[in-house]
Amino acid sequence: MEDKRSFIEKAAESLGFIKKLDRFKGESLAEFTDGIPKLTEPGDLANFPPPEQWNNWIEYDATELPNKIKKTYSIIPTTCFNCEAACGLLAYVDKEKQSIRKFEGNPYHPASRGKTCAKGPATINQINDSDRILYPMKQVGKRGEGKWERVSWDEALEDIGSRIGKAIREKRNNEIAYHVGRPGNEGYMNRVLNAWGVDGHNSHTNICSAGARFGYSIWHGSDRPSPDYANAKFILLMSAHLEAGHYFNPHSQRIIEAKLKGAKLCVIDPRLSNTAARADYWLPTFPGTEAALFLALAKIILDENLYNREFLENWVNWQDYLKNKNPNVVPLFIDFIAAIKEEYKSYTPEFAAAECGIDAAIIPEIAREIGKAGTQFACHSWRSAASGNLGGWQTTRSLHFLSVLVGAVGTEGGTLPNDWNKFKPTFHDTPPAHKHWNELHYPDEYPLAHYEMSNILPYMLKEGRGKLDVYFTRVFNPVWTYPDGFSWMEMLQDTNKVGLHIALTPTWSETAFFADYVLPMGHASERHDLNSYETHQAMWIAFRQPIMREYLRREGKEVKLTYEANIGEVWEEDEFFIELSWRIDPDGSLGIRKHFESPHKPGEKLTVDEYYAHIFNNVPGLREKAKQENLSALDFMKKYGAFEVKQTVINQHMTEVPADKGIEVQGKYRQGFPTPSRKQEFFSKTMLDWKWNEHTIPGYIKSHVYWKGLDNTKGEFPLVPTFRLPTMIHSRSGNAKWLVEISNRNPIWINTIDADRLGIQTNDLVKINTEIGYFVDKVWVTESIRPGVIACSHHLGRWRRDQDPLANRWVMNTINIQEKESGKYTVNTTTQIERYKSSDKDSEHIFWKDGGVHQNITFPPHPDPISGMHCWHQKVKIEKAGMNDSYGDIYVDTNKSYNIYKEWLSLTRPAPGPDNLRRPLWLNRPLKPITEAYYKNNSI
Amino acid sequence: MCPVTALYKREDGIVDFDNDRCIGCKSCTQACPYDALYIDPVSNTAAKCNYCSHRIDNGLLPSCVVACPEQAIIAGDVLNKNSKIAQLLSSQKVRVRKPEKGTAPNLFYIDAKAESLEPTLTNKQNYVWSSQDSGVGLNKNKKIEPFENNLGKAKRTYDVPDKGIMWGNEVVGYLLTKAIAAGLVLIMTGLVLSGAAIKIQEILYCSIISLVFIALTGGLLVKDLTQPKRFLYIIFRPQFKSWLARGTYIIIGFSIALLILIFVCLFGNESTAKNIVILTSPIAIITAIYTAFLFAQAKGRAFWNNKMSIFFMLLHAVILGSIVIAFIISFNLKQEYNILEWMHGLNLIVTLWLFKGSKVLESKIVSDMILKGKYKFHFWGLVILVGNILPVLLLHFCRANSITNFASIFILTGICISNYLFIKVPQLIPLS
Repeated sequence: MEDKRSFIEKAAESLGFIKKLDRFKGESLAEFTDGIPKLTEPGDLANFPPPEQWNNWIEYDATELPNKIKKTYSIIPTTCFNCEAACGLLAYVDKEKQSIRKFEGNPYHPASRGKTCAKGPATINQINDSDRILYPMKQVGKRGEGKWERVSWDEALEDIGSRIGKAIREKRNNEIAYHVGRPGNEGYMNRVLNAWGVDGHNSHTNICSAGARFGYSIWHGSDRPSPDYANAKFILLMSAHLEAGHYFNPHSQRIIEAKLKGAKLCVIDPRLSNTAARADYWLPTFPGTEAALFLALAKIILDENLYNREFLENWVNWQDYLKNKNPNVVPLFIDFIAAIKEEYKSYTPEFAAAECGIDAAIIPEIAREIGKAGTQFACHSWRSAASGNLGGWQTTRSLHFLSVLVGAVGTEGGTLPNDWNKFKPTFHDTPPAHKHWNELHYPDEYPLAHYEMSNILPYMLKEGRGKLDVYFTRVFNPVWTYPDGFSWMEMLQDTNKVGLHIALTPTWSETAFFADYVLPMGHASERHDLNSYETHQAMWIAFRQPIMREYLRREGKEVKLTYEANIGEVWEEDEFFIELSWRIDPDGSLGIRKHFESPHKPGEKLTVDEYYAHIFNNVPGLREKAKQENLSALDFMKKYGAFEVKQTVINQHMTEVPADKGIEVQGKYRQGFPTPSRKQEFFSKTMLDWKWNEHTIPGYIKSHVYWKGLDNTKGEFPLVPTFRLPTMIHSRSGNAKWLVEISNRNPIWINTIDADRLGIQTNDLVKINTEIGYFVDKVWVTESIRPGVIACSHHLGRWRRDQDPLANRWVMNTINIQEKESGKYTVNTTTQIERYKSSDKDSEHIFWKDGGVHQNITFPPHPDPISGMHCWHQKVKIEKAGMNDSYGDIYVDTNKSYNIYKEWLSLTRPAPGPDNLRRPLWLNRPLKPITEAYYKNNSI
Repeated sequence: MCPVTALYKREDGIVDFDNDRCIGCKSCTQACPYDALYIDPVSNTAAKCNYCSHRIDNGLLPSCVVACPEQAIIAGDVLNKNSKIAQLLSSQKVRVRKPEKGTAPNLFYIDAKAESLEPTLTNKQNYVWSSQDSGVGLNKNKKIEPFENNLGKAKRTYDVPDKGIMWGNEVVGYLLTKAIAAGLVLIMTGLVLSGAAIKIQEILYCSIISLVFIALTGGLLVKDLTQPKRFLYIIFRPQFKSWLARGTYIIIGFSIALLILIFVCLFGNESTAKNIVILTSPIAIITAIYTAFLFAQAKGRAFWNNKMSIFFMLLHAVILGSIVIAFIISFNLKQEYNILEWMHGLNLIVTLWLFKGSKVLESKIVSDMILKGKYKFHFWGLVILVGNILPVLLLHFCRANSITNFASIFILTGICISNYLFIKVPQLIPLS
């Protein structure tokens, strides 16, 4: 490098007036000979470091520029844990500092293909969070009092283990529950709970996706859609899917891929989401009217002969439908078409347009697009309409009806049952199914629920239906996320209802504040999990692994247990449950311990390597692939983090099978679908059998927030409270500063027309009155929400009380809760977000004060009588805030919410069903017990 | 505009940054029409996106390109016809941001709407998911002023936090102290040339006071740096295309001239001193007006690109010089009043002319904010009425000393406020 410094600079440097930089324009004056060799030819740039160099990857330190300081990293794959999709991440371990520097995407992950959303790289914030929980904590005061003491893992494990052991010995198996928010693994906990012999699995499904699941299940047994977007010609999304659904990253990649190939996108959502903004058609339907639109589309597809006759004739149970109508006539396909045309004749475009509040002319256009796309019509529904409305499951069912009509089920470019994508692991040891039926999870009133009725747990306990002796909450925050959080607080504070509450969490949460033990569990880079999801038309597995443990192994400093490599005493659940199971059954007399013993060294504890080695050795094709690199299957997964099991998974219903395992279609016995008819069930005998004869076929149920009953001029609106932001993690973003910087408030969206009528402007304070109380929030006036509907995103308004530990300070308001009368609570915000000093300098640079408002806590329970879904949408009354109302104020009466629970409960048609069953045997449920347990009054 | 070559273009075209050289003068944040530069609160130096030059040097694509799930960012060599980016550029309709700035940007947008490219078409206040309570970086403890001159109906839903005013009161102060320093010499020159009976003692006092003010000017400039300890870099690592570097040398030159003048006053005779005064006047003029060129160099701020600011600054120097000199020298300046009245009149015209702005959109918005908007009271009330009309009327009708003092305070107020508006308001226009 030629010395281009000016004479003045040279002279001043040599005279010592100014610091000697020996550099000009970023170039060192001494020739820079020690550069890193470029990966590529000039002009060509690579996406990622090649895996051959992952053990010793050298790159320039970005923060040291223009000094070219070389940094050496060990690059180790894992998977993200910040939504369900488990995208691939590469952790860069700084070899000098022995710590993780950053996370990037993993190019070897078949679903995420090296790409990430904002949440993935933010994992580094979570692991470096200065407020995170590093040691087991025990509540030493009353539950919720905020008096915490550090305890040893040994003490905690012994206490919990002996208590579970006692319950099992005393046959109180149903008093043990593991309540999970984000599962993040495949089959691990089912194995544990079956080994314990408890019906102890509870989940968050019924505040999330029960509506969508039931709509799909009742058609074809599988409960989730798996659209093949990349090959679709027309894509219909019922939701702000890319941000409000799961799988933002893998799905959005493929939707855009299809769009670049000419596919058209239609989004049905009252809100102009980011997804809707990229759509060719945005249909802002009134919440809960979507089914009317889909049935109108179906009618046009039928009337204009756009349907796929071959698929319908072969793969729909039309015979059952006709036989039910008239058992004495021989069913003919032609009659079926005529009959369903008759069924849906009232669903004219004009009718649907009037119901939905959209333009009638657009409906035939979309129907023809769907017909034209044929088997390459992909659609998706999750949350949104299905989770918002009474009868929301019918929106999903009528949406899938469209896929069935054009034969786009299981096809390339169509929508697949998710079971075809998901890999099911085999274990070295599979305990038999447990023998219990926990009525706190599956009460008689909800025989068709998908699945556990977790949304009404506090009320069932209040009614005296049972108690929980040991209650685990894991990555689960019902106090904040669920409707009516105060009823959860009441439940958790009542030691007669919940004997011992253990929160398994990496960070403090509103629910952890009400625990007896808070046990720190690892983030994405601090734990093991097996992942496999329906992200696209293929089957893959991925391996979440603890980065520092794998790093130490690579460096020849192997540790025995993950926590030894993690920060503080942060454990991982896999090892926790092995250890806990030993404590439950120390001498093996309960028959539990044996399931957690090493398959190779009897009498010793199972190791996670043994557990995963068996799984990976039994993944078709993985051992062969690993062998090409002289690796074991486990080592291959440790190196690459992911494996594509099948490149394509379409048309599995066509697979030929033995006669007793299939159904005859086109002269061959074929696998079909996991329903009683092995076909797509347009007509559901199950619905008939379980007393819902008015819902045997796809239909339209008017929502509990049906717009025609609301008077906007009086401030009455349906509130859509469900939508998510693509940069937030439900209630788990508070420890990720980069994410909170992007989003830290949740104003009420209201259309300009409505705002003008009510005389409110952006940033004005309003009071949103629900059935059980109110919350005070700001408004955002916008044309991006249809008139007559308001909306509020749910991530923000996180809180702690004064007595609670300082945590998630990027986003947590400090609030004051007062119980004025029994069950009547007021909340006011005492401190908003503030700067603070910590080991992270950025905490002194916080530029926002607003942390949003907690809305879910003001919602009553709305369990759908069929799917069991908590119907999120709210009928609210919006009014200008009064003189005494402050931002963030909340009022709730839990007596009212209990009464509303009772009202909704009265809508159900309880079990038993046929043969004294608690639930149809063919319907899915997690942690299935033995068949006998399905029958009421069985002797077990 | 970077005075110390901290910001530079690499041979491959990447605009990169050397934060070891940066003195934190913030001129780059005013020069870049795209708001690419900001002050990193940790290093206290300017920073910008540098196309991940450290990755490029490794042979890797920039991080944003690799991470984006939607293939929305395409990077590559536009000159290589076979590259994807070159093909897209030849087949798609593309737009760039602010082509009128003549920066020939290499960042192209496919399918972009005007609202997403032109920052003044949207309000800048709280966003849908985030809000800003206080400034960032050097403005950490200051409140943020929203931009609400909405020309379009589009709403800005998300953006990075507003950096706030990068050149604040230190810069206003610097303009005033510099004007006084230069003005004193200019008035002395006027007096010398008009043959007024100015004494050597008075020349000495004026020169000393001028030197004090130029030292204050330097002090304010150093104080405004986010790396004040590196102030010598501007002298010893100068990049002479920058008016900041040039200005520094001008101020040094002017200071030396003043020192010579003081020396002569102390040790020489009156006629030599007077001659030196005359010889110093050209550099005093340059000292007074160079800042106009400096501001014009800030391409991000169209309002500052106005030739009127030369006269604005020169007149302020003369007027401030005359006010200050009145306190120093003994004889009555009354015979000069006519010419000063003329100066005041001229100042009124120049001020009106300057704040009228140009036809360029951003400049027009600034002008509207000052003449018709949020700052109309500041302008019409304080600058025009109190600062110009009132004192001229007072002086015209009454020349009693007390009245003169009042008038001086009014004039001073007007000049302070007009400089404050000149500095602050253009910075309220969002650049991105």
